[in-house]
Amino acid sequence: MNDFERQLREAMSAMVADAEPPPAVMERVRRRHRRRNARLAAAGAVTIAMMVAVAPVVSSLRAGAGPAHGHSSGRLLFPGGGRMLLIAHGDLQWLYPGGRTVQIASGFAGAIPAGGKLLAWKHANPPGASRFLPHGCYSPDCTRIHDLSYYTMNLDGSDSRLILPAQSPVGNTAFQYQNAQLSPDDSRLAYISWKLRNGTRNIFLGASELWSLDLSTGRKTDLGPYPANAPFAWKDNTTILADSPDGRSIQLVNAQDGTRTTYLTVGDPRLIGAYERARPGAGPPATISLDGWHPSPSALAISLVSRARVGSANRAAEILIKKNRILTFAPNHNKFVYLTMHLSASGVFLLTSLVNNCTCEGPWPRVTYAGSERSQQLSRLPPITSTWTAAAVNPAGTVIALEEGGALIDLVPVPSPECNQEGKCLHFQMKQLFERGALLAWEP
Amino acid sequence: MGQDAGDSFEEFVRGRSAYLFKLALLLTGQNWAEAEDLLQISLERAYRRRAMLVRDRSPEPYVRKVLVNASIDRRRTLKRRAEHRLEAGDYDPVVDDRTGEIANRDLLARSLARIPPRQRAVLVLRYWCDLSEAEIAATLGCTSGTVKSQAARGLARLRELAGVPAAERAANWEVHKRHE
Repeated sequence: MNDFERQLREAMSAMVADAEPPPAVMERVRRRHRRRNARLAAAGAVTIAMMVAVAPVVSSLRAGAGPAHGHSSGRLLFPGGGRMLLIAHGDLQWLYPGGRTVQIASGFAGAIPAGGKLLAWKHANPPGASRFLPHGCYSPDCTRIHDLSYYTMNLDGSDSRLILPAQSPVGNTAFQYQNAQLSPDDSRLAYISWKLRNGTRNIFLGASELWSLDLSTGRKTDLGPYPANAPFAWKDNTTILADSPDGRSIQLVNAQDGTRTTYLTVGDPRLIGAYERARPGAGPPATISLDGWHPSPSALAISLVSRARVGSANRAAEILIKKNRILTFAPNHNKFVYLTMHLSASGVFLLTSLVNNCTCEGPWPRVTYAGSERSQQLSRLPPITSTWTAAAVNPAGTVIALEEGGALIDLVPVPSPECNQEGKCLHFQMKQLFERGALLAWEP
Repeated sequence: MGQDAGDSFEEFVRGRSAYLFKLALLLTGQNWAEAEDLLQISLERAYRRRAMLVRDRSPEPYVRKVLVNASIDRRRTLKRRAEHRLEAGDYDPVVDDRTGEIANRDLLARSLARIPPRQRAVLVLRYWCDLSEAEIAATLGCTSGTVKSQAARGLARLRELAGVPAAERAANWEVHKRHE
């Protein structure tokens, strides 16, 4: 830190040294919260009144116009069938369309369905964890950054089994287990082990590695260094799809011995051609990264960008490879665009574009699109859904659920181009579920 | 919504509102009214999710993220604001009087209020909150590279506004470029 930076730090401290927050902050927050709820309730009442008024007219029109694609019943809590896996106050529960909830386990922090089972995780708080307090932390809850233990259980919560216990810190180092995934046959677990070092004022993040755990023998295998937040996916029961360290290929990692073979490279002529068609003039792609994999039917989503250096002209294009067909999606011709794809079993996917317009005067515009292999096009979802943190598509591929921060789940119909191949589209106004919990999955 | 979550959240607000208000003040360039508004906006959003936030981790990173991003989104804030502050030097070129340390601090403070909100947020998170580049990137939803470039541009602009000689600015810029 040079003199100027030191002066700046001192100036900032001096600027706010005597600043006091306004009195009764909590009361003001509650008041603001009540006002917001009242606004939402009023808006909801207006919407319901309009729907009640319009519904008979729409029904009669549909009756006269022949068979409709389908409809949502007013008695249902949500359209689309199946059941949602939610977590609320540590309780894992299934929510059914009629509003019935079935609690299956307590004390967990999250879960995902995998191969007919659930992989769930909870905070274990092992001995010594309290020493790892991040800077600025105010309560013991802050120890909970590295202490996840993983469990498997049946879909009804029975037969819960601890498969990967959180590890107690060793000396000045703790190990955070994250992004665990079960193999399709539930025989192995792949996960990231991230080293954390406790400094005098803050937690320092160290190297992260990809590991596999054989659930029948308990044997752990180090599969080598891997970025902590980079995606990976089981391709089959013994092989993991992962990014290469240089960002130039997607690799197959053998879960038994860690050997790596190249699966797809950024220099593949098919990918170069697809990218050049999607982003004319951007030159050949320089990096390739895994965005998603779905085994049934097998679909691989990858992201290609034109320069290796992050932050430079990274014009991204999303490639979906399905049954050897290559589909390219490149919405938004902005120079700085980042794309991520969320695949679902129904074949409907969500593509999110994040644009860094580099005027740097606000959050990057974020747009979510729905698409499918059949439609080969993208349909933009309503802007109100742009801040979602978790998403799921119902098994029939007709409804999209987007959750914002655990308190609100928006339900929107899959747009017609993506769902009308089977003649089973649902048409309804956007629906919202309040305070039901955080969305984990939407299953049959 | 559990009583425990509500109690824990209130405890958090009691313990951390002073710190968060100071952060809001720095992010808004010492605009008290706007800082109070930002603090309430961010705490209300966290209040909606209190059960989840107090269960899983400290609400602070979430509140900080909302605070920072709301402060950057000037259009939204300005649209809501019916009044504009009338402070000396708001739009005038800042003059370096160089009469002492306090004057320099004041000069830096006023200069900080004049740089673009995103650059200001990066500098505040870096030099006041002591966050790492990775943590700042996570807060702003951008890459570490963007954080570096924003910090370098922000510092360069601050030096310019605070009247650091051009030669010194150029030298410092070179140091930053080498570190990127």
